[in-house]
Parts: sequence; C-alpha cells; structure tokens
Amino acid sequence: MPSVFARLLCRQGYVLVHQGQREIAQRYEVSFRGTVLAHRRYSSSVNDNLIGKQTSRERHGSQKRKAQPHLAREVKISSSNIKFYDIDAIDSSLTPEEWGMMKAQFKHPLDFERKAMERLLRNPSFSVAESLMTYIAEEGRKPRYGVLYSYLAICVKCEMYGEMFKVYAELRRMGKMLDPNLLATLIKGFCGTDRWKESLEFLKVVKVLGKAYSRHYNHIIIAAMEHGEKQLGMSLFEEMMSAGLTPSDECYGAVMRTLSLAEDEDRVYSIFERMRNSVEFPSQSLALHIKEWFEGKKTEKWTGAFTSIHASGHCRVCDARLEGTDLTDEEFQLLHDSVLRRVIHGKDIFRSTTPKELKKFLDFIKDHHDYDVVVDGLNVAYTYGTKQKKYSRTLLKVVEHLVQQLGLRVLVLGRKHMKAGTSAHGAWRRSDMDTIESLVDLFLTDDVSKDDPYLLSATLSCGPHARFISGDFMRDHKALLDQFVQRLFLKWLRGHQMKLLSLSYGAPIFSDVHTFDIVVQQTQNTWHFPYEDGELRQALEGPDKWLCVRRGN
Amino acid sequence: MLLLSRISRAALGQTARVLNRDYSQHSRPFLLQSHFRHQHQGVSSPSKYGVHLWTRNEPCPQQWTSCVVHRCYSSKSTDGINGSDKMQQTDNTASKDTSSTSNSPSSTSQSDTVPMDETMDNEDVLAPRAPEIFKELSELDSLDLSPEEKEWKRAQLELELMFERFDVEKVTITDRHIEQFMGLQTNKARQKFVDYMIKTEYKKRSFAEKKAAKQQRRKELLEGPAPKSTTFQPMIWGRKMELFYGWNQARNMMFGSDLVFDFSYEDEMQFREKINLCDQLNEALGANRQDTEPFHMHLVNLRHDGQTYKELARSRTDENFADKILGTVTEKSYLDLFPREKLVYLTADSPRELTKFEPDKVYIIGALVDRKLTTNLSYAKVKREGIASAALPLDRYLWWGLGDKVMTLDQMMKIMLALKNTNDFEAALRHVPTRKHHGLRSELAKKQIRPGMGGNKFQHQRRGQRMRYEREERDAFPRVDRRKAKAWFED
Repeated sequence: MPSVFARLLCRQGYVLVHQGQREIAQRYEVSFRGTVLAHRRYSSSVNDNLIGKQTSRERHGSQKRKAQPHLAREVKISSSNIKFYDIDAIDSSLTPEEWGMMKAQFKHPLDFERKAMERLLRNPSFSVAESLMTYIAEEGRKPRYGVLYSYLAICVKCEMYGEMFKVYAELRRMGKMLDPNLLATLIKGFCGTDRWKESLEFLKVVKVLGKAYSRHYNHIIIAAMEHGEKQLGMSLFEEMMSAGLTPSDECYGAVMRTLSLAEDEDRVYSIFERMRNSVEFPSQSLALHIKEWFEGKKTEKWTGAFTSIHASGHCRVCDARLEGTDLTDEEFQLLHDSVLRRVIHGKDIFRSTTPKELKKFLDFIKDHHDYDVVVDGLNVAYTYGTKQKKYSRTLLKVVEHLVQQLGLRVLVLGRKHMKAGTSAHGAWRRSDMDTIESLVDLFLTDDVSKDDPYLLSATLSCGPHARFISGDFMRDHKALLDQFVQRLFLKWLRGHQMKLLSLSYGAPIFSDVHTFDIVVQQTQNTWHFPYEDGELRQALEGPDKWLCVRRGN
Repeated sequence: MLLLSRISRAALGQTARVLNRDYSQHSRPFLLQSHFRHQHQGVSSPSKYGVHLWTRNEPCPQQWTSCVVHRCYSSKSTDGINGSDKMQQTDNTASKDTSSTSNSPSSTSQSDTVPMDETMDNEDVLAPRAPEIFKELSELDSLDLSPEEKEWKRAQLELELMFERFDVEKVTITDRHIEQFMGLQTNKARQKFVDYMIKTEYKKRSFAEKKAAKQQRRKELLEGPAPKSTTFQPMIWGRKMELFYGWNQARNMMFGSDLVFDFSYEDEMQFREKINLCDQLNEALGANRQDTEPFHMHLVNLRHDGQTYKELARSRTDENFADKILGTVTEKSYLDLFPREKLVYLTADSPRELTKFEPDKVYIIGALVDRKLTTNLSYAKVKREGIASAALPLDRYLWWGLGDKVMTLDQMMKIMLALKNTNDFEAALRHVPTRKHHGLRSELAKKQIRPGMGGNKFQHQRRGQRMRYEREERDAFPRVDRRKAKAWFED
C-alpha cells in the first residue's frame, strides 16, 4: 500500500504515469529523495483526504463517486503541466519539452533557467541539472553566468568533477573568474581532485579582490594535509589564524591529525589557547577530533570522556575543580572603570543620566560601599506582582527576606516614581516604601535616567564579594564595552548575578551564581573543553556539555 | 577630512561611468534596444548631459582590436563643479602609470589565472572588463596616491567588479553611488546595494518607455483631427498657484507662528537614512506650503558642507534651495534664534505631555530617521540645554496598538498644522498612521469598546503573524494540488 501512495504522490511516479504509462516497471521505483518528499506529501494529502472524505460523506455520499472518473481523466490530461516547484521532487532527468512546458508556466520566463538552477542547488540532483543544460543547448542559446554559477555549485556538491572542469573552462572563456563566491566553490571542487594545487592561484585572486574568508582556506588546508604537504597546510593555517578567521571543524580535524608527533604538541596547545582567549566553544564533531588527538598520543597515555560539571564546579569524571569566576584585581579594576566610562558616560552622558546625578551617586557610593547585595528594585518588583499590581509588596518581601532572614546589608536601586505615590491602582504603596527605606538604603535615580548602569557600578564598587539581584541580561550594556572587557563582564556576571525565580508563600527563591567559568581550561593533568551540541541557549549561559581529557587512565 | 576627500575626488575626477554591453548574442534580449540606441545617439551629439555611448552601429572613434568591446567610458561632470577634462587627463596618466609598473611581482603571478587573451580571441563572447579591473586593483598599492584617493579608487573598481558578476546590460555609476558603496562594509550590504542599483536602472528604463509612449500618443493626438466641440474652462496656471502659495507663506512668515526642524543629528544617521529624511522633509514642506495658515519654517543646525544638505539639494534639484525656500535655512542653533523660555522640544522620550498648542511658543522637531533604534538622542539634547520638552499625548487620546511612538517629519507637520488650526488633539492625531493604533479612545467608548475589554488587543497583529507563518510553511515546500491528489488517491 505505501508504494501505491508513493506512486500516486511522488512526482517521479506522477511524471512517468503521464508519459503514457510506458515504463510500468520503473513506476514503482522510489529513490530516497523521492520517498522523503512523497512521505511528506503523503502525510499532508492524507489529512486533506480525510477531511475531504468526511465532509463529502456527510454532504453528498454517492455523487462524488460519479464525479471521480471525470476528475481522474482531467488529471491525466493536465498532469502535463509540471510546475516550477516540482523541481524539488523531480529525481530523474527531464526532456527538453518538459522544461519548455515548465518555462512557459513560469512567471518570469527570462529568469527561468537561473531560478531553476538556484532551486536545484538547494537539493541538488546532477541528472536534473544536466538535463536543464541540455535543454538550454537545444534551444540554441548559451547559458549565462547566473546559470553556470549554480550549475558549477551543483557539480561540486554532487562531486561530478569532469563536468566541473568543463564549466570552469567555459567560465574562464567568458572571463567571469573574479567572483569570490565562485572562487570559493571552485576551490572546494578542485580540492576534491588531483588538481588541488591550482586552487592556490584562486586564493591569490581572492586576496587581491578583497578579504579571503574561512571558506576559501578550509578546503585547501584539508587537501594539503591529505596530500602530505604539511608545510604548506600549516603556513596557510597560521595565515588564517592571524587574520582572525575561524576554521571549520573538518579543517581543525585535518590539522590535528597531521600534528600527531610529539614536537608538534605545542602548536595544538596554542590552538586550544586561542579558543580559550576568544571564548570559542568547539562543536561536537570537533570535540571528538580533540578526544581522538589526545588518545592518539604515542608518548603519553590520555583518556577522554564526555561529561558534565557538578554545580560545585567539580568534573563528574576526574573530580578536578574547574576555574572559578573570580577576576584578578587588575581585571576587576579595568571592568569597574570601563563600566563607569563606557556604560554611564558613553558617548553622551545625557543619554543615560545627567552629570549632577552621577556626582550624587559617586558621593553616595563613596560613603556607603559595604553592601552584600544590590537589588534592582524595578526589575524585582516587576518580576512578580503584575496580577494585583502590588509592585511594592514584592520588593518588600524580597528585602525583608534578605535583611531579616539572611542578615545581609542591602542597597536597593530604583527610580523616583517608586516613592512618589502617583502610580495608578496604588501599585507603589507609600507605606511599603517607608518600610523598605527603614530596612535598607535606597538610591533613586530620575524617572528618565537609566538605573541599570548604576546597579552595575554600585555592585562593582562594593568589591568582588558583592552580588546583585536582577533578571536583566544586560546585553545592551555589554555591547558598549570593549571586546576584551566583554569577556570579563560575562565572567563577572556569571559569578555575581542572581535572579528572583519565584515567591513561594512569601519566601523568595533566587537562582545561585555559577561557581566555575565556562571556557577551555587546563590543570596539571587534565584538559576540559565545553562544547556546543546544537541546543539553543540563553545569552549568558554557556554550554553544559563538557569533554574531559585526563592523563593516565 | 571632508575637504580632503573632496579634493581627492576632484583629482580623480567626478565621473559617471556608463557600462553598456550588447547582449544580442545572448539569451536575454535587450528589452528596449532600438529605443535606447536612438536615445543614445541623440545624446551623443554635444548635449547637456555630456554622456555618450557607442553601440555597434555607430562608427567608433577609436581603433578597436576587435569589435567585441562594447562598453566605453566617457567623462561626465555630475554636478558641474569639477572639471571633467582634468579627469580625463588624470585617468590617462593613471593608466600610463599602471602600464609602466605592470611588471610588479603580484601582477605577473596572477596573470596566468586571468584569461585575457582567450576572451579577446573569441567573438561570440562579450569582452568583460573584469581582467582590466583586476589588473588595476592588483596594482593599486603600487600607485602613488594618497590613502583617501586609494580608498576611493578601490571602491570604484570593486563596485564595477560587482557588476561584472551579473549579466547587466547597462548601468550608470556615479560618484554618489561610489560614496554610498564606500560606507558599506559587509559583503551582504554591498550585494544588496548592487541589487538596488540594478533595480533602479530597470525602473529608469520602464519610465523612459512610458514617457516615450506618452509622447507618441500626444503626437498622434496633435496630428489627428481636432475635437468636435470645445468648452470654455478658465485656466489656472501653475505659476499663479505658486504666487498665491508664496504670498500666503510670506505673510505667515511675518505674522504666523514658528516651527523648527533641528538637523543636528547628522552624525547619527546612515546615508540611506539621510535620503529618507530628505524625502520626509520635502513632503512636510509641501504640506506646510499648501495649508491656509502655514508655519514659518526654520531648518536649523543644517551644515552646508554636510551630506544632508547635499542630498536635499539633489532631491529638490536645486543647489540654491536654501535661498529659494520660503523659510529660514541656517547653520545656527535655535538657541541663537529664539529666547530660551519660548522653546519647546517635541520628543517621544519626554515625560511631559503636550496639553495644548500655544501659538507664541516655538516648537522644535528633531530631524532624525533612526532605523537602528537609538533612544534618548533628542531628549539628551533637551537635558543638556535645559529647555522645555513635551511629547504628543498619544496614549491619552488613542488606543495604542503596536509600533513606535515616533513620527516622521511629514506626519509631525500635518499634526502640528491641524493642532494650530483647531487646537483639537482628536483632529490632529488623525494623522498618526492607523496601523499603529486601534482608534480614538472617545470613538471607541461610544461603541462601548474600551481597552482590555473582551477579545485580544493584538488580535489583528496576531492574525497577520499567523497567516504569514502559515504561508511560509506552505511555501517552504511544494504545494500539492489537493484535488488532483485526491483524485489519484481515489483512483
């Protein structure tokens, strides 16, 4: 039964049936490509049919059966029109007449060939592409650049290198060899053949045209490593690294496979160092390459394992303690200065606050800088309490918990309207605010100023032990910092930000801070690599999957 | 810096390059070939534009090695400021320089990858200029040019190269294009810009086609028999209208109230945003001119050497527009023009609401188009200068839906005109685009509808989103003709 469905719904079967039912034997052949597409169509059309059947049964039971033969005949006649979007499902080559038919129905016939070729590139099938080229040739025209470009890409994807060289010659003849995208495709194609050395020339051209990107280098490096030209490959790899480009996983893998000798170890470690400094996370496949590289070492015995890290910061496999989130004194000072200079001052201090207010804040923090926790009053208040609009109530509960239960010194930052008592529905109660003020210190900025920069600055002023409570990701403030300071900022946020998770029976629950830093890191006998497994993450979260490599068993 | 770049441009020549190719050999016919050829021939005689193109039919004034090269480069002064002859000379000398220094190592190493000779041999294939451009690009570093000149030249060559990748018949590259192109850093942005250029080229073409058809029709009408009956109709000349509007505006400049557009945000805007700003401003000025009691317009902080000024001159097709506008165009700030206590800055970030229009106050509107959501720009200015500010009472009168509470210049102008004439916010806020709100609160209250009552406030937007989502889902995969599929199923 499924094969019948496939025959009905797969375009291949569809086309063949239309051709006068000549090739009945081939009719049941369904390739993988066809099957997948047919399956999807099948599922959608089955639903349609069910709905259709139900309605038709309810409304006019037998009438539809009478109408059927007529419908079927109509389909057989009109099945001659293959639509443009059927290109996705076509598996075998089409005749020129069929292409002509398709073109006649296309909205912009002048662009048909290019568009068809681009569509084919999504889900490449060489035989179909070839038949399109034959069609163009039979029409007595020459394929234009747009068509050739996509055709070349299809040839490379399907690894039809003979055809690729032909297209390459044609493109050379046309003098269209100066497109970086085209050159990237050609480099990839040539690196799959014996003529891979010619791709070095392409790379040179790319460099003259502008910047060479990762996709121009990757395949050459892989090919060089495979053909045993270690010197060339490494020089290109270092060129790429110094240009600040990120190699692909395969490229990394090829390089690491080559650098298996003992004297090359330092080079690989420098790659890891670079990952660490730029806070890059290797992908899963690269993590596998790294594991293999460590385990393939001949001088020493290394063991790798995929693991996760305990909340206390200990590896579950080797029980090593990972690096903490503490900054050094210089780094902390640098971060503090940058927040003041870049986030509060910025280009124009009036955009976030006023100089008068800043002076007031600095005077305030000079006298009071011994808080344990700084609370983002508005953020905490708005996290809960929207239902009854008793914002001040939420804040009061959090503050009471922090002060009376935990005995902490607390500073609350907010805006002046919190105390003004002007809000509708009594969302900010005067009495609550008075209680809060009696418990903790309150610093309120103007209603039109930003309070988050002050929150960050106040927490930093209170020293490395102080934490702050806010659900804000601080992305906009992070973006204002320098590249290097951004990493420090992220590290500091992980170690010092707590979020209000819930208020259960009046007792607030906070998220805990991270106890370890999420970067590539090494101890004396171990290496730990956090790796991406393709899952989506929030802005501040790092990956939670780790590769642990340790010396010995 | 600005001056320098200007000089360098003058040295390199303010040129418009017209790339033209014959695609008669190719699959895509030149849509308007005959018409265009005709036009070009007309223009190639000493003409006001100074552009001339050669096509296959015309005798070429130079000696061609083969008749393959169809693109010619001609000097043309885009704005009449810079001498075009000078450009010609510098270009020639530059090309001489390149030919003399062609034995540099980089060019020799790459010469084998560039198939120059092969293309010249083959007559079927059009000769692209790509190898030449490539040669020039690779020799750019060895040329004796200042960094600005090099940057300019590089952008020019790269832009031309972008067109080599497409099959474009004809495109005109002006300095303005190169200037815009220089501002684009990423590949994607450049690609988009080139697409935009091609699009405008096609638009121009269809416009010319329509124009020609119109002229043809007019000619036919004039040549044909006269209409049988004629009716008397008083003619109102455009000039009379101009005069009337002008007098009206002049009178109101003397006795009416003032409105200020503050152009001090030039550094915050991209080129594209500045162009949009000019369009908005022109529309606003037009709306003001046609009102019965127009404002006295002040365009303040408008730098005369800035890009906005240049674009404004371009969009109004008049370099001396500042003298001809009935209004004040000045580089001074509004603080120099008016007493401080009279000023009110209208900005969406202000915590205060505008309650009524006061004719003796001077309302300031920031001339800013921000596509990248920079907040608090104009309010920062208000804070620094310590002047009064106000926001439109949008939430008081409208049930706001989705969208920024930021208005364009022409919307603001219409709102302020209506407000001045009626002092009625409900009348004035009708000029707020309806996509952003659900209607006036008072009108909705009459229909017993109030915010938060039944239904979903965003249901219209949500519905749109859902429909879009469904359409995308559908289009992501080939459509199945349900009827056919069902028929097959039953078969």
